[in-house]
Amino acid sequence: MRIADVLRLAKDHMVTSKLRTALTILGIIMGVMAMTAILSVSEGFGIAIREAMETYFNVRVIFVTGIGTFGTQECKLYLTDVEYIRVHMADVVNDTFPGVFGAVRVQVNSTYWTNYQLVMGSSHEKGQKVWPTLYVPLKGKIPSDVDKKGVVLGYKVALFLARLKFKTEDPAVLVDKTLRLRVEMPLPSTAVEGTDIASVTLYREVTVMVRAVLKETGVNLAGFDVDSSIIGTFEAVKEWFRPPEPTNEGFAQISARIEWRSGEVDEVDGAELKTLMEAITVDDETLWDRYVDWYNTRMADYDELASIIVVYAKDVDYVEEIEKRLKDYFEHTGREQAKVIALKAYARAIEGVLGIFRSLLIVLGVIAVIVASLGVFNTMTTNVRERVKEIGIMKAIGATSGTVLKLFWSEAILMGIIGSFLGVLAGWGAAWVIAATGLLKGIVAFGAVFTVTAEPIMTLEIAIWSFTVSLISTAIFGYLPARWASKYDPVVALRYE
Amino acid sequence: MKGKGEGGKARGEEGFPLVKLVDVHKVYKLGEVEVHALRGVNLEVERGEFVAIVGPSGSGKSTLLNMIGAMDRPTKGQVFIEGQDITKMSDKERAKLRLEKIGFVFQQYHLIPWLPAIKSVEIPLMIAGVPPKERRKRAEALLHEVGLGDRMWHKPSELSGGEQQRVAIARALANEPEILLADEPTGNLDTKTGAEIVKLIRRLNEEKGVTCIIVTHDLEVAAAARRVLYLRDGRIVRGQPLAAKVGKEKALRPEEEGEGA
Ligand SMILES: Nc1ncnc2c1ncn2[C@@H]1O[C@H](COP(=O)(O)OP(=O)(O)OP(=O)(O)O)[C@@H](O)[C@H]1O
Ligand SMILES: [Mg+2]
Repeated sequence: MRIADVLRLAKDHMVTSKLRTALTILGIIMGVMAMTAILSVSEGFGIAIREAMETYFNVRVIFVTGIGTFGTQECKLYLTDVEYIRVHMADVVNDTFPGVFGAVRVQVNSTYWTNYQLVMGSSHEKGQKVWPTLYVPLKGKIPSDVDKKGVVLGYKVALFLARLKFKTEDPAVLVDKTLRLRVEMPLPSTAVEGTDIASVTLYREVTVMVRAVLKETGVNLAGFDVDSSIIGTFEAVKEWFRPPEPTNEGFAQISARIEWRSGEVDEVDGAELKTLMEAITVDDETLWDRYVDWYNTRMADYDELASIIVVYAKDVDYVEEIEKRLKDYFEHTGREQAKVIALKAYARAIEGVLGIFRSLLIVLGVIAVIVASLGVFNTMTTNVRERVKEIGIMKAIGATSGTVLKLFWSEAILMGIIGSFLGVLAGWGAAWVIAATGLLKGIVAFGAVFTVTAEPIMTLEIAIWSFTVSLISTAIFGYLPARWASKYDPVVALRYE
Repeated sequence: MKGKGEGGKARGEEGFPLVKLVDVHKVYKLGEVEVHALRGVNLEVERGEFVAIVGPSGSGKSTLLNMIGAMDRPTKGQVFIEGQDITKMSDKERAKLRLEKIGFVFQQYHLIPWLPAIKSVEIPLMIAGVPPKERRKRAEALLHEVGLGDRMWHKPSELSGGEQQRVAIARALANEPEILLADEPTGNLDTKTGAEIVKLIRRLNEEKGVTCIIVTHDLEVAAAARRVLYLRDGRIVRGQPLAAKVGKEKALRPEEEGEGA
């Protein structure tokens, strides 16, 4: 029989059993719709995350951090380490530079200062080189590294200050504005032990110029939340945090806050503090003497210290080797606590989790399609059982087994084609609705490392894939009953009641 | 074969009888029990004959018809259609033979319930690969011929028994078969309608030269045949005095067992 005639007869029968056919097709539509929608959502997230990783996650970057905040680190990192890496790992390292972390308050008006804001001291120029897509101004111009007064603000901190200081929602207003920062240096508790003083915090106020506000990144690089940071040069930020020299001149630069054990609090200037410290004596030693001792210890290596070392690999393939060599180096220099973090490993971990997540989704989609195909199988089996006599008739009038097989199978395939096609359209629609209503357009935070915004994406590939998988599945599940039908002996089939 | 050329009946150009059965046995096995439906049937039917097969229920009439119509294979023996041993053919070849040379008519009409008359008649033409326009024309002509020119788009459920049987006959004739095999075609019909169907089959035999083999219980129907085979216990046996019972001398020529062999 000609294919056209096979299809014509299949169509005639399907029209005869409209309801059953329609329900079976509906099953396929739902299965394929689910599959298509799932694939498009998965695709959307995949693309969003890949983009985010490519944009923000320079996988050639390796961080080395000590433990604890700057100045109180158990495991110290030095500029000599940076030099060592630059010289001894030149074969695999493109560039390396230090960074320093801290926290400051920002002046809002004459009496009000914000709570602590994150400060990062590093190289603007190298930051731009390593994160060309991340270190991008929303407004303003990234300053050069010789600009000691210039800072760059992360999007969120800029927005925060814009709201507080300028009562606007536009973070860009901060550009070219002067900010007054208060750097706080708490003295160690040992410095006031045995006195009526509970604690002393030294303040240094510095004035900076906002040169640029960054675009929102949503990225947190090894604890460095870019959007919430005030970024200056390494040298400048280190100067802000340098404890004052124990001289009149040194203390003239600072002021202090003294908290007494009684609960009283005094705000004093540097000269007053110095006088007070010289006046208080414990065990024949003034607090001033203690400060001098502490200062000398602290300053022994202050100029050499860094909070973080950024290492930029020549090629992403060298990352593992660099990681290993860095670990070996810090181990040999007695600092096995130093943390070596390769963004590539982060990226891998995230990709791994995402891969599992996506495979799971795809499995769900395939299950939906298989369930729909089971519907086809069920319908076709019922069909065959009801039409045994017809099989006998067809064979008696000269149909071969092959023709009978084609007649039944083509019904399953027709249902598969119609259902899969409409299912893809419905899935496309569902994806569109999800995107339009923002149903899934949420911010997904991945272990606070970075965040992405995703929405379903429908591609021709997904459409073809869903259609094909569903069609193949219905064809397979429809083939078995069709084959049973074709195997009936004509005499037996005609006698069937 | 001894019977060849005997009786001056029409033979194929090749000189073979149209239908020839040689010692055909059919045994159905139902578990332990063996049912001998046919026990050595020898038979020749020439082109253009009109043969009636009668016999008690269970005597093997339908089984015999299925052997001739290439629907089933004998347990033993040979079946020749135009000199070709169809027992040696593949299923596919047998399907082709049924399509081209044989038309079946059944007691229960066996129409496909969801197809209108015209499409039912078109199906054998579809299977044969006749293009749509041509087959529609032929199906229409056939339905006119069996007197259903005004019922072409009726489904079986919208037709009377006699009309359904006419559709079945039209369908059986679609590919211009050599042989029309009818298994109790009037069994489900009242006498008058049955007589009309028999008349139609007779006419086909006389006007178109279609060889007809009809299984029947109805002696009136048998009386219409020129030749009557009496089947009992799977054998063609000596003829019964049908004429006496029916009261018609005409055309009754019951055969003896193994006649012509
Ligand atoms: N498929 C089968 N399986 C088992 N036994 C069968 C089968 N077909 C026929 N028989 C048996 O073979 C014998 C002959 O059956 P057949 O149908 O040929 O008889 P019949 O002469 O056509 O009877 P009726 O006049 O009742 O139609 C019967 O005993 C029947 O039970
Ligand atoms: Mg019978």
